[in-house]
Formats: sequence, structure tokens, C-alpha cells
Amino acid sequence: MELFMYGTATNTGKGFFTHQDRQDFFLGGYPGDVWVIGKNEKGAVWLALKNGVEKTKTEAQAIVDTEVTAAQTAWDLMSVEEQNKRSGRPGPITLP
Amino acid sequence: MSTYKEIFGKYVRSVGSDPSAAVGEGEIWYNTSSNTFKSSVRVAAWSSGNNLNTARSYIAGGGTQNAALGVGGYVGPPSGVRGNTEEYNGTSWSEQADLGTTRYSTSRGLGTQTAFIAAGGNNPSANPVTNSELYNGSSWTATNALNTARSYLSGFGTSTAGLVVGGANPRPSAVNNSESFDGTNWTANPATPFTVKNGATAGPATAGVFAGGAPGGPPTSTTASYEINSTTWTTGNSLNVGRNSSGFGGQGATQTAAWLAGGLGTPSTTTATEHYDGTSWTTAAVIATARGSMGGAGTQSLGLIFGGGPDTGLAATEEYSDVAAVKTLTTS
Repeated sequence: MELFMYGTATNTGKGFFTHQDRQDFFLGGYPGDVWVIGKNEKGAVWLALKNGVEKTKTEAQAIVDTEVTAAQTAWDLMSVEEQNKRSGRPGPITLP
Repeated sequence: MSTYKEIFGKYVRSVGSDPSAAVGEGEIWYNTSSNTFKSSVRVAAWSSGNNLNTARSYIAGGGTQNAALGVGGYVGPPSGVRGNTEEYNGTSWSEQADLGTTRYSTSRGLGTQTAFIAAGGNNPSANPVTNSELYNGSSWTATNALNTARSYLSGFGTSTAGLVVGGANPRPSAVNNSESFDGTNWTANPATPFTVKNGATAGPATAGVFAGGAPGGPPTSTTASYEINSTTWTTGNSLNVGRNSSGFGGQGATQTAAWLAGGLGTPSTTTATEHYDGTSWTTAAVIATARGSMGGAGTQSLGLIFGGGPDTGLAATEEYSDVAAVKTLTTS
């Protein structure tokens, strides 16, 4: 049984996900406005109410990879001196 | 099958209306108006707050969940240092007067929304500075400078009894400098027993806790924590998840009710939240979006994180609450 569903939705701020939502289903945000959502009725309703677009895991991972690659490329273009002054090269992200 | 009375020694109460969530916490009752069994349980979770007006990472924070301050930051590359100041009122962020000296990774956690100290940080050339400024709720005023230039430093206490520890000069190296602030001057203190940048803090300058941080270059992080009592540092129990650049409560939290959330682990960011009770760190509800280098404010039961990154900068805000709520009991 699949535990998660995947989608994109824009975080509109307060009320986008509520205290109750966090109790009702798993929710994790990733680069590219990708959300991993616990696969139950309340999770599915949440994505629909947020005008989200459901994605397959492969599609969602591709969106995240694009964002990570862009961030890594920007990092690689910095001088070593600049890199040393920041938090570190963005690492890969694998969706659950 | 056992009955409720056999287990608890009492029958379930029948009431016409629900007691308050706080009064009814841990109890079960039958509501004769709705003909339902109900209970009040404590539920802890992070929920979304409204976004910052200016997305940014390396942002300093302080205050409470309903009166927080976000200061400075960075968006990039290409380099974009932000001097923005934003206030949060529990609902939305509003833009305020910019820092006098634009910088990022200034001291975090030192002061309140209306009396906040931003000390040190990196200038637009990413070099550590000694600048220190006081925010009074409407504008910034330069104070006397730090003795040691550094960025990624951590703060305790108030604008008239403050303390900053650790930091980088320059990154990725870390320093063990400590300086106290009396509202006018910064005074160098003996070195801390840790050499760390980007650690988390809670409490006043003379009764605080310091946790995590990065002792070396990225992406290293530590699980170590320390307590300060008066002027003496002692080693505390370790975090469960090593991380640096977390969100934390600073002056808004206490040594016996501290918290930190998210941060940069090795090699990726974490969603983990941990609470400290004065003895040990325990895991708490996770944040929704993993991130590091964000601002933080508030108490262990009413926390706030905002912004952060990667370097490209986030605007998202999350609010933590740990409150009792009345629930209807169902068979599902």
C-alpha cells in the first residue's frame, strides 16, 4: 500500500496547513512547491482545497531535482572563498 | 470486557456543555446536548503562518510567537544582502525600518520585538563586522561595537543584559569568543568551552542553554549542548539530532523549557524539533518544510520559525502550538 501522495501547491501562508491538518495526515514540503502528503481521505481533500496538482512520485522527484540542481549550479559558480562563507553546497533530496 | 468504572473507579460524567479544553484535559465526559462522548487531549503540531514579505536566509529572529522580529538576511547567489526588518503580530509580517548597516547572519535570539540587539554579522562582501545596533520597535540606533568581529553568532538575554557566544571569523572557522552587553558597552568574557558557530540558544544571559552548531566547516554539525549559570558553563546532555543553523527561541525561551527546530545536518537539512526540560532533549513534532538558517522566536509551547534556506531564501512561516483541544470520540 502506498503511504504517500505527491503534489504541487503554493504555500499561501496562514491556514495553508493547520494544526489539525498536521494531526490528520503526514505533510512535508520540498523545493519547487512540492508536497508529500499522507495518503488518506483528508490528505487528498487538503491537496484539492489548496488548488494543488497531484503528481506521480517520479514527477514530483523531477521537480525537486530541478530545483536542487539549480541551487547546486549556483553554488558551483561561486568562488571557493564565497563558498567558505556560506552554509554548504545543497545536497540531494530524495522524496519518501 | 472491562467497564470504564472498573478501570478508573468512576463513571463517565454527563454534562450539558463541554468544560474548557484546559479544565477537561485528560478526562472523558458525555455531552448530553450533542449525545457524544468527548475528551480533551493535548495536541502539538507546526502549522503554517503568513509568509515574510521578503524571502531570505541567514535571518535573525527574536521575540514571541505573536510579537516576533525578523532582521537582515541574504538571498542569492548572486549576492543579495538584505537589511530588511519585519515584525510579526501573530497573523502577518509588516515591513519596518531597515538595519542601519546592511548585513546577514547577525546575532540571533537577543532581545524582544521592541528591544532587539543585532550584533556582528557579515557585510555585503561576506566579511564579519563588529557593528551592533538596537531596535526599539520603530528604528535602529548604533550602539558601541563588538570587540571581536564575527558572524553566525548566537545571543541570549535582553538588550540591557545580553550575551553573544561563538560565531565565525571568517567562516568556515569557528570562534570561542563570548561578550556581554549592559545596554551600552560590549565586554569580552572568558572563552566558552565550545568553539562553534550557528548554535541555538534559550534563556537569559545568566541562565541559558546553548545547543548544536557547527564546529568546523560545512557540513559538520554537533549534538553537544551546554548550560550557563551565572558565568559558569557546564556540559549538558546531547541533542538527538546533530544540526546547526536551527530555529530557536532565544530570549523567548528558558533554560528549563528550551527548543530548537530544523537546521542543517550532515549533509542535508532536517525537520526535527527537540525540547529541553533542563535535563534532557526529547523529540517533538516535526516542522513541515526542512530548512536551516531561519529565524526563530517564542516559547517551547508557542514557537515560531520563518525564512531560512538554502541560500535562495524561503518566505514560509511555521507556528508551533502545544495546546489542549476538545475532541469528539468516535469508533473510527
